[in-house]
Amino acid sequence: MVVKSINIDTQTKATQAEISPNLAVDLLKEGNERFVKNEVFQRDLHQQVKDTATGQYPFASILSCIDSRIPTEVIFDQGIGDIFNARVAGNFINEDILGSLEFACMLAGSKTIVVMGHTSCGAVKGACDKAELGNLTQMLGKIQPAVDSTTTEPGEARDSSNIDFVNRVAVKNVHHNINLLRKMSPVLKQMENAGQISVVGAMYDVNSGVVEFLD
Amino acid sequence: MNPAINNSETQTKESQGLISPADAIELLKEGNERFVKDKSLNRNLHAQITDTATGQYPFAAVISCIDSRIPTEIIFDQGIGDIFNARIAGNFVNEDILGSLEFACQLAGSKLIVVMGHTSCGAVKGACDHAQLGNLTQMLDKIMPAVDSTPTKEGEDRNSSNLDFVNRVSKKNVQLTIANIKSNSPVLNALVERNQIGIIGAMYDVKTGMVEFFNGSA
Repeated sequence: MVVKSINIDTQTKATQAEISPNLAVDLLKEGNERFVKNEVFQRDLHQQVKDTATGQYPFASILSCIDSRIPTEVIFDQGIGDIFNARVAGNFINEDILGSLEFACMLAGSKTIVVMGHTSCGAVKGACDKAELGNLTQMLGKIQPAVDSTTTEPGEARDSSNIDFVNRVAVKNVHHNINLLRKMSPVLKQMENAGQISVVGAMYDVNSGVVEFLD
Repeated sequence: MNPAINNSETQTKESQGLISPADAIELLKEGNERFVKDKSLNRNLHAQITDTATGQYPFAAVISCIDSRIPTEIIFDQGIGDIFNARIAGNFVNEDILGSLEFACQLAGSKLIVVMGHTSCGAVKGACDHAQLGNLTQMLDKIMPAVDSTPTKEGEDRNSSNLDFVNRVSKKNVQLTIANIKSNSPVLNALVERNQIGIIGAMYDVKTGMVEFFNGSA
């Protein structure tokens, strides 16, 4: 199968060029399926260290949370040199994350950006509860727009005691940050418009290990 | 190290409580040695997902680069629930990374912060070359203090054509980032002063897969 061989071997300039923005997303979907089914590839990581010693040609960039339950390369069954990964608590964007993603796509040729939130996110819970502590206060402020724009039924709790609310805010936060990314990075917006990259949202379920890609 | 500490099992509130900042360094050193020797632990990741579904008790927080060659949990041979990981191109800190680390240590009980740079870092090369592009321009500015404070011999190149210079800048960048954490986060600094957490620098070598820890943690 073509898809398998392209993702089991170390990425090269040539393989990276063959991968379309849609295929990049499919490779990640298949990788997560392998992880969930416990059928991960047996890659020779030491060979991959050698292969990539003088350069990297990753096909995707993931923005995800610092959460210890979500080792990105592991849950997508990716090896060394396959994906860039930016991580901040609450997986939102700021100027430095945008700079990182511009580097990943514009300068290093990766074909998709996945903004991935997750269930039971501590940062989202903190934002729902309006927690305040040091640098965390302003950080949680960046998740607040997602909290404010998530609707609740009459009488439904809008804090971390309501895990369903927390998870809806996390989804909203992914959509919100994809919009912000397009607005704040003309570089990435232009690449998306030109069909050079795709930008997609996703949610990781800490109960099952399954990544659900959002529409 | 307390013999009850077992890095092959999922971290719990109790196991996290047993681990000192010095133990946390040792666990990461041992994990990288296993990775380099191709003797990674055979963890049951699916059991670890079940174990951590309702909570996490990681013993360390690593700040590292987005570089695709350095999947943090893999090169430290850590499982699910073991380490927090903040990643940004050039592994420096900003308010949001500091907030993330405060969450990891003050609220979630991590015992150690590792600031890990790496050889042949593209972001550091970009800063050395004064590259300019969109949001990248201001991002690379945050690495400039490390570029500016790395000395060169007379006639030695101060750009990315000189890989030895680039790698020295990366090391300097780690040291400056540690200083920034202490001066810009009173929350983390207080944890360091009470010996509740340690902060240590490290460099990953993309040629060998080896992590070299700097001497002395804060």
